[in-house]
Amino acid sequence: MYFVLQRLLQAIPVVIGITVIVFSLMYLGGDPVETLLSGVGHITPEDEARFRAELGLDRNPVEQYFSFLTGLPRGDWGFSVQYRVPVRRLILERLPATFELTFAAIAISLLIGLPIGVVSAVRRYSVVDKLSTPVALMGVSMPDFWLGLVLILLFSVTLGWLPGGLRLGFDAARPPMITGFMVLDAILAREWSSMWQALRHLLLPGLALGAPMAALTMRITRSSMLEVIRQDYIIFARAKGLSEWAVVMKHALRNSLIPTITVVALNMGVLLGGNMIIEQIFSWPGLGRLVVDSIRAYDYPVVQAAVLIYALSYLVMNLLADIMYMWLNPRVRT
Amino acid sequence: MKIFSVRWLLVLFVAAVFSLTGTVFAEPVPEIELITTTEAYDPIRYETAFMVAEGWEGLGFQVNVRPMEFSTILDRFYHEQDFDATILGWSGRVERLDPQHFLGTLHGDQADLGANNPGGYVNPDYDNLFEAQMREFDVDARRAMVLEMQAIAAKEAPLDVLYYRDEVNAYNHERFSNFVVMAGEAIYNEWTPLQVEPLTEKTVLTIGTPQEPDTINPLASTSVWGWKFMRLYYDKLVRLSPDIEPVPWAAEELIPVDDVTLDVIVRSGMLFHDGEPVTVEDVQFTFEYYIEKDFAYFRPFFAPIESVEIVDENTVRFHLKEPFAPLVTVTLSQLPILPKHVWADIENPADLTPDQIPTVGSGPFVFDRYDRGEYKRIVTFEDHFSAEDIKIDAVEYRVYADSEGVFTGLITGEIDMTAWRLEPGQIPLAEREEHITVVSVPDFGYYHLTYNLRREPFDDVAVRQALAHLVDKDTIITVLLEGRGEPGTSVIAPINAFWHNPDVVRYPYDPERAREILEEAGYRWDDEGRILFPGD
Repeated sequence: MYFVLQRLLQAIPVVIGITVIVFSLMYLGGDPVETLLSGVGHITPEDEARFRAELGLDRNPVEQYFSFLTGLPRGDWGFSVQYRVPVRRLILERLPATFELTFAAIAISLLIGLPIGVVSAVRRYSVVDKLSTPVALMGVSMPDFWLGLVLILLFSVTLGWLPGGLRLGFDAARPPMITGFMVLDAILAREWSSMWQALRHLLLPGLALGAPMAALTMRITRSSMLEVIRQDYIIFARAKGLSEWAVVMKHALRNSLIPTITVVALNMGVLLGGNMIIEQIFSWPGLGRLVVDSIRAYDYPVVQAAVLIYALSYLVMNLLADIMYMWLNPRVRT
Repeated sequence: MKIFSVRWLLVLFVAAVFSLTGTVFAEPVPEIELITTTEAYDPIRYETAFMVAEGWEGLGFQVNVRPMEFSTILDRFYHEQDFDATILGWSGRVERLDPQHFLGTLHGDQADLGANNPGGYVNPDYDNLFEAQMREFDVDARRAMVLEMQAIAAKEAPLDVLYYRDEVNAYNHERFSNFVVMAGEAIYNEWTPLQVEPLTEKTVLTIGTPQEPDTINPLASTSVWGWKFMRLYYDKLVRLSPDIEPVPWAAEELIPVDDVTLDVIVRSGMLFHDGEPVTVEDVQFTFEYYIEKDFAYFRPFFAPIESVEIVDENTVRFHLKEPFAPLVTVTLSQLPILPKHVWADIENPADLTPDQIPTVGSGPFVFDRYDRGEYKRIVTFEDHFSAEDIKIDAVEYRVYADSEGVFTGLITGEIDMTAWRLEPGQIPLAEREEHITVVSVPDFGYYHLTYNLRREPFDDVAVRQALAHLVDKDTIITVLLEGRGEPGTSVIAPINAFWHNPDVVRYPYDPERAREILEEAGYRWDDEGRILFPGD
């Protein structure tokens, strides 16, 4: 308990630091009003002053920072210049798509990484094990945007098997938006063909995003599995005459999952923040694309809020990983 | 050696004395700073600047090409007028099809800081014609004046119109036929959805776009992305035909009463999408509402309107403050008809949240759905007077992250047409696909090289004419634009055929002719080939 409290307290200065950096973001490119108005054409000084007052930029920066800070917990995250909508609303609209993609990426990485990791450990030096190392190396070292482009080129453009962008094809009925998760909305609307379509649309971006993580999961599962298998209780289980399946699945795997879970949790934070390029390539209507659009349009309130969310989600995931690790492994509970 | 240097000193001294008195040795023409965009912003304009500079240097001008950030250029050009020569462009928007806007960029009254004529061209003949054409309701009489203005401008060359760049779209010809091609807008215009014919079971036209509306609030949207969507579910009194002629739409007839009065007979039997009839009250309300809320984007359109009066149950009368020729082509063809019963109680329409924005129109399509960042759909309105001619059931818009995504969607058959210009690199790839037709349409916007007429040597018409002869526009078109464009001649593009004057003076690439013009004007060249101002 003390440990959790300590970690939480440590997070506070980090959060404050993040808000300061995020707040200063808009001043990095010079005067934000000038930047925002640069593409507009002819602006009179009166227009500029009115605009400045509207955005609250006529007050001194410290005052501005505190109103920014106090607005955050109240849900006042500013107003999008480009869309003229509260930023909170824009972000809440986009988050489900990003979460959906992140979950897909994690699911894909676990589906690939776990079984191969286990098999490589149990059948050490087998063909699977020997192949898994170079494949994992490739997976980790391939940049996701490159993989995304290659997947689109191969599976959409050349073979025509899978869609190369967006969340649903024109031939599927669009379910009413309830949760914002396309697959879930399709299930709620009992549109099974739309659900199938939505899953197909998730496959390529999920793979592009999940591949590096799949490789990592594979390597970590393998090494931790190898360590566990050497333990006395596994030898004992074997000696009891349990089947190999029961030994591996019941006794070995469960214990060797501890480091894997930590890595998954940590990576979830990375994935949430690392989706900008993949969302752009696959035209995925999530937070990452919103950020890219907003950067292009100098829509700094949106960028600020999104960066804050990225930073906080990473922080939370990090914290969760620490806590989980501690909970799973009593030895760090000192 | 020593004797030589003393002699040279003497020569230099004499030269200095003479040049100071200005009798024998003429002054060299100062270096010209040629401002253009960065290569990243627009590689075509960037390269063009270097080609122009090369042409000018061939005749002894000193040119310094200065690529700058776009916003810096706008500041230097419009707000500070601190430039020698600048390459910029005007985009072709539908309301600019009326010659008013582009002709205004050479109007003497707009030469002040921040206005549209930064070059500072002032010609009383041109200005008188400009004011006269604005008040002329007889289109043929107005046309004659518009043509004459272009002739005057071409002769005096206050700017060099460099090129008109084509708008390139593409569509899937295995799914739909009968796409309408329109100047400036290519196939992404308001007629295509009304006229396309499905060739397969797919009766929904899917459009891929790299951008989405800023908002679909008709009292807040200031982008073509908003209006090109809204204009399909709102009706307007007039629509501009594919040949850009005004055709009565929600109006049955337009009857000019005098220079400042126009009667509009509203088509009877029209319905809003909620079932309420469209009446003259709605038309009157719409214009009064826009005027009352002073929606800045439309201000130039409604500013000349004094009042809108209901004459009888089918007729509204527009009273103008002064004659305003673009009333029909611009004002009536741009403002949507809003339902009074929906909007009348909305005090601050610009502050509506997305859920509150009404989407009830009377147009040929009914607003159906909008998922921001992802998807929009409108469905055919069965009770519309044009419904019988519409052969599709709906139009859906799929919003991609960028033009690369749109392009992939087109190639893989996820969309039926593009809503934005293809990148030069995508065009040959699209042409290779069997199911795709590429459409290339001339633009009525233009790219120009504007001189600062307040500065030497651009105050001299001979210099401007000579400089124009030194720009090889054909090479710009064939090499830089890969043939997808046309050399510039006038601020009114040839595609805007009714208003364009094809017979203006032209300046073909001809360095010899340029030299003759300069020699006749008294310019000379020093031993190093640098051009000198006329001396005595």
